[in-house]
Amino acid sequence: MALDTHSERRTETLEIPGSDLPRTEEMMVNMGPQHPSTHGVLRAVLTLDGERIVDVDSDVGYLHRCFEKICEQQNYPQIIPYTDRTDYLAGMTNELALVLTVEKAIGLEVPRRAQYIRTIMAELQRIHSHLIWFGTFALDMGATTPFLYSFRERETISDFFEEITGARMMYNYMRYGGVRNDITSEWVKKVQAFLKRFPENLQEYDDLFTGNPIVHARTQGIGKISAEQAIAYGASGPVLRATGVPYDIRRADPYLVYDELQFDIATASEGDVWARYQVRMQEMRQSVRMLEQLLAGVPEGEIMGKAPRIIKVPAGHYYGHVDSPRGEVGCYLVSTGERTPYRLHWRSPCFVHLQLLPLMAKGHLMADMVAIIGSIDIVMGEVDR
Amino acid sequence: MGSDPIELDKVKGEIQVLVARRADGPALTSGAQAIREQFPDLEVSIRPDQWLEMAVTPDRLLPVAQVLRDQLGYTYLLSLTGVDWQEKGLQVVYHLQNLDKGLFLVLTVALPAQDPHIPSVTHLWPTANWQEREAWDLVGIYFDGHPDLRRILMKEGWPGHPLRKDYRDTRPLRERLPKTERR
Amino acid sequence: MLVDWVASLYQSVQATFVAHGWPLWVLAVLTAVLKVAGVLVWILLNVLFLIWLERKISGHVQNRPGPVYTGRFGLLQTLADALKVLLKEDVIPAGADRWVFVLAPLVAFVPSVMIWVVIPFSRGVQAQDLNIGILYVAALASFTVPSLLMAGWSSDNKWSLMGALRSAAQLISYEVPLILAELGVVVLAGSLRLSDIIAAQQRSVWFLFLQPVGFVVYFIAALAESNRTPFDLPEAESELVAGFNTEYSGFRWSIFFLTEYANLLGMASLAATLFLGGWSGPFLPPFVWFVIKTYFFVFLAMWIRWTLPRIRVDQLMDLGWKFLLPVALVNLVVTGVFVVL
Repeated sequence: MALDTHSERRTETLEIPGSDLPRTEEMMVNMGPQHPSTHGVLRAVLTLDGERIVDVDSDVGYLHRCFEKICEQQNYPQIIPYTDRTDYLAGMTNELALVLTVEKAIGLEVPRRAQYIRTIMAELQRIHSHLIWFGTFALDMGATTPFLYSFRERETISDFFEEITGARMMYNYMRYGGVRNDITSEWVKKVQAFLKRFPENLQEYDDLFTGNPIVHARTQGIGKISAEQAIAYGASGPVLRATGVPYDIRRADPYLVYDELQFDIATASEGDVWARYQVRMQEMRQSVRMLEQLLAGVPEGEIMGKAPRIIKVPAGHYYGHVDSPRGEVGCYLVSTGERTPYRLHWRSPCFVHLQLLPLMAKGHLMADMVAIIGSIDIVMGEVDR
Repeated sequence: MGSDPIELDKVKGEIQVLVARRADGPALTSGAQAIREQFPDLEVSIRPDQWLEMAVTPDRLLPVAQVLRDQLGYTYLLSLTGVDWQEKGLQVVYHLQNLDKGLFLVLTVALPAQDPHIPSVTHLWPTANWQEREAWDLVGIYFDGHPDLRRILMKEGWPGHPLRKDYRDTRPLRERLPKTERR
Repeated sequence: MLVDWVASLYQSVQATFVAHGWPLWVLAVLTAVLKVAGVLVWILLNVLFLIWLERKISGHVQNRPGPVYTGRFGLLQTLADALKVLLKEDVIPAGADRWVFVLAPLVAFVPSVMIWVVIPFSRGVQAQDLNIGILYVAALASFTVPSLLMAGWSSDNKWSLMGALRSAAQLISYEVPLILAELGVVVLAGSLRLSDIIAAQQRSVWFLFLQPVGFVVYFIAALAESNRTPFDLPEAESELVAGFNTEYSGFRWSIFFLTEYANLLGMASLAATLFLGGWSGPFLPPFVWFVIKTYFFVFLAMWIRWTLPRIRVDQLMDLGWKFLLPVALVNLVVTGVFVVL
């Protein structure tokens, strides 16, 4: 939006402690909304001293379509496809946030098989989303090749989704009370075969990118935040876990069948870009571990519970949250007992994480800005909703 | 008090803050009791979905929020929402979490329909900054003391607040289309 | 052999000139034009091939086939692209400094061609065997800086300007270790003349074995000089949009592109000449050896480009001044001491 307050020329200069360098004028640069590495239409107004960042003012809203207002006019089943389009790289977990909230509100029982399938989908989605993050993060760092490697595996997972849901990105798969389509035993075998070779692929990424000294030099100590800052700024997901806070909704407020699964919460303590990188790489491995347990034990049974034909949520307000690949997706639902929600608020992790950008970027270089944005893993569709 | 924190062997990497699993049963009751002790005049209820719920008036929000954060450990603001209840006024809803004890709390603040003002909690929970801006932008709630209360999702100077129930797009139909799609 | 045939042809033409009493400067001009044409054809053909090669190599590094549809093995892909680029609208931004904007690509391109004047393709096949060959190359290499600065400044774009400033800093920093590494070879050969350097290597061994440290320094600095990943900061796509050529399009952009590959080729052939004995080698004809050695370096540079991420500005400077420069200096001193002893 109009950044009128910033348009006048700034005269204050960056104080470099212990330096007697001549005072220089700062430069304002518009990073985005059209920029190769702002992941969509983020506009960051940078105040630069040479290449050093003095201030960041992010400007969002270019993709705003007032999702929340649209939802007030749709009945409950019609909302599900809209949630896909908020965080378009993790549709499954977004659908879950909505569906779980509504189910909690009307007290719907979900069959065990459907719960397993949902968990499988959510974890596949996590790998799917983290693969894109890995590729684009490498792209931001100037390495083009890892992108194509990660998309090779992502393609396989997209095929899995396509086979069951009919779509590769916008699934519209979750239903109130269950899921739309059942999984087959052949599909399970295919996914298991993929999971068997996926750790080798991860090793390949490590060989190609993780172990590279240039990557270390460019990520370690960059965009550092402390655990206290992360909590105060409401960070969640990998951004929070990278500061050493093992806050994972899958454990802290378990949903679906996560309670029965063996997995570790990936954390790192440094809170910098490198820590966030490691957390996400570790999370993919943990997802593989979870999926192996899940696929081995899918119970037989129905995939749809006894959902009423017309969904009406009893009057009241409800908050449900799930751990999406990017962090906490919260769904706050206010109902007056109608067929449409009275108010639906979508708490998106990226929107909250973007506030951390000035904190992370100040004092670093232009090039680090790109790495920092990449490490937050923003999706503008979710920020702007 | 509270349920056991996540076992350390389930976690990789160094831990700075322990996070507890969601509290229920006696832990939840004692969590509610702790708030009641601090504010004997406020009603704290336990919702069927195991959330604590309390309502405050706008003038008491800041002292209550301060105590909630500093003494009762609600350091984590999950979400902040503005709701338009039409003639009944507006409402701001805070979702808070106590990470150590696994307690979840809904704090609601009712506001008058005319000239809704509420103190900003940005200095307590910095994450409220953008969320308050969003609530101002879309619902039209004034957050007093907010450092930078600009519109965030809509563009500067947009007429009205879209998530108000009585909001109507006043532009002529032609202007609502993007330039490329106009005939 | 072709070379001998050309030499005899030249002699007979010269004899004709003398016999008819025609002025000899006409002949000199004619041969110069022919040489320039030859070098240009060589560069353009090679660049066409190099771009195709780059795409194929990147494709295979990245698990995909690269271009396949245009011509056999996609060989005509570059031609198709060149045609597309030429047909594009030539945009000069409204705020641009017109003349500088137009001149910049040319200022960049000309030195990259002029380097080829001293490169020996084969025994005696060299446009001009200057006795200050290395000095000449080093002087021309510095010409890239003003051209990039011109491009960045005249575009009236902050990203371009930042790219240009980065490139100025980078090129100047890496010029020093580059020349110091070349000097090691010069000390060993005792001459600045490139043909003498090749002759010196024929007498002993390839200087790669005598100057391994110098070679590594040269190769790293040459990568930086030709703006290749991991040193592609001036045009860092993910940071600076496209750096100094953000505002360039169509033909002008393609000249920058051409320059980049011509520089790469120049650096590679110079490396082959200085460290791998140039055209000399057993069995195969000298020209083939020259091409093989040059393309070995080209392949190496491409392989590195598609594998490594980009380093940061300050790290780039640290690497140049705090590591490469001292190493190159020590190398030079040690070489000098050995030669004197």
